[in-house]
Amino acid sequence: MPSVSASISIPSAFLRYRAIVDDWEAFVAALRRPLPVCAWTNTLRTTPAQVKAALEAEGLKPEPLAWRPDAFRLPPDSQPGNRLAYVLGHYHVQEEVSLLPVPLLDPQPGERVLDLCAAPGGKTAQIAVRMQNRGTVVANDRNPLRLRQLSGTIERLGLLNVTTTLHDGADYPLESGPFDRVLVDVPCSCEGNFRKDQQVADAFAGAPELCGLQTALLHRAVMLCRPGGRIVYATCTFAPEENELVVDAVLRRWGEALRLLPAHLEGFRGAPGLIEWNGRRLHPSLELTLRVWPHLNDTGGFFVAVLERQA
Amino acid sequence: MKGTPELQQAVKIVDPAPYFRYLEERFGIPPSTFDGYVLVQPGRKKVYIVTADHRPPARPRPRTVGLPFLRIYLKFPKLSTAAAQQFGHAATRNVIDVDAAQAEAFLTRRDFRARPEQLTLCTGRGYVLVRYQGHTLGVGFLIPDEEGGCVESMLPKSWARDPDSFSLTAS
Ligand SMILES: C[S@@+](CC[C@H](N)C(=O)[O-])C[C@H]1O[C@@H](n2cnc3c(N)ncnc32)[C@H](O)[C@@H]1O
Repeated sequence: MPSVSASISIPSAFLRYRAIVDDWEAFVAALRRPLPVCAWTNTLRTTPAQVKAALEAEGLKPEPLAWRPDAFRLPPDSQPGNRLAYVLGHYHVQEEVSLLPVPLLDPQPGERVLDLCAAPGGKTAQIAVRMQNRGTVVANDRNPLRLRQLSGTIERLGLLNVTTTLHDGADYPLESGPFDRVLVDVPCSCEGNFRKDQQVADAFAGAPELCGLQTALLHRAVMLCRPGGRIVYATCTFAPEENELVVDAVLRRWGEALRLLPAHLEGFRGAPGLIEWNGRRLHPSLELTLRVWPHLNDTGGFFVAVLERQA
Repeated sequence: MKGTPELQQAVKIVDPAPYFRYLEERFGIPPSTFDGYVLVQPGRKKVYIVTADHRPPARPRPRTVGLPFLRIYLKFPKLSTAAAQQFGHAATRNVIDVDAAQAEAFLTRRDFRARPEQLTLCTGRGYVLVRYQGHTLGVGFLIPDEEGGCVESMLPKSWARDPDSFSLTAS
């Protein structure tokens, strides 16, 4: 059992979630535990069995995830990045919740897929691998330094189907489209990263400027997606203003032309999205979105919405 | 080998023949290794390799397209570390199989000595592929001498491991 450090105090900013968390004690206890590390197999280069064997040979203790046997959970203090198999691009290190959006996006070989806020590229890499290193992944970010880290990810994993661009996603040129699928992994207040970084609670969750950017990014993503195509919106925060309220605003703007699909992954426990917050009623279909509280699967916090643009 | 119309619009397509010829001469890599890919030049110094069905946008202008392949405008083009790891398995010449201590030196960007019997596949001074346990780690530069040779690690800083914490030899 990882040690429980009772000295970590739960930020007062989180108290407002008391009414929407199913088990407050378990939530608080999970926040005080260090976060497990996670590594997923680059199946373009090797097999899950070989990654497991390589990690074990390094003295680590990989446990396959219940819902994704090609990915492994490692104890919180593991350093799987400093190993030969990592340098060889046999696996990538990423938090478990960061594995949720791409299976829900479900990109197919040969398609055109846009990752609007892509750096440092962990999800871009998952998309490229799922597409069997064929077709088109366009990975965009506004930050040039982070875009270089994205290039590093592409190079180490041997991805041959990714183009990178440096642009404001909210103003991404429409002539670049249409795309079959768009991932919108927005900048957010990152409250769900609390187990990794206790400073995150100082960020002002739900700041209007940030929510405005998130809404603009999602709206742009819908414009860039072909009718009949899929858009996945993700954050790593608990704040409803950055999650359901953003999706609600964009759903209202698009009316009949946009609908939510169930965000469900077999074997991973989630809570339904909110359909009401602070007395405000939201679009009832928002219960199809996925809220991840840390105690449900011993992970960080996360939110995912899967949208389909109507043909 | 021309790529999609979108690719042609977005980026300069490069004639691969001279590069493939060079890689075949130096490393014995058959050009057919690269079937299904196109070489492009999004910037000035590097040629990239990308899947032939790729359809990038022309606007915004791509920063990178696919995987770095070769750095050009050098006396000899240098194969990128990424391309060496990806395609090195096809090489038959100028490959050095290294032991754990040598691999550790290479990955921490230190030069290492190669013994004469490790140079049987090498044709002389120049770029070599450094292979460990069947995996290509990257590109080195071989300077042969009477007792074998010295291999300079050409691993870019961004790929290098920290010598204080990375080890292939510690038990
Ligand atoms: C949550 S991170 C993305 C993580 C990434 N998807 C991954 O899996 O590695 C959000 C990213 O959005 C970028 N960003 C912030 N504002 C942006 C904008 N207006 N347009 C595009 N990207 C933006 C940030 O630089 C940051 O890299």
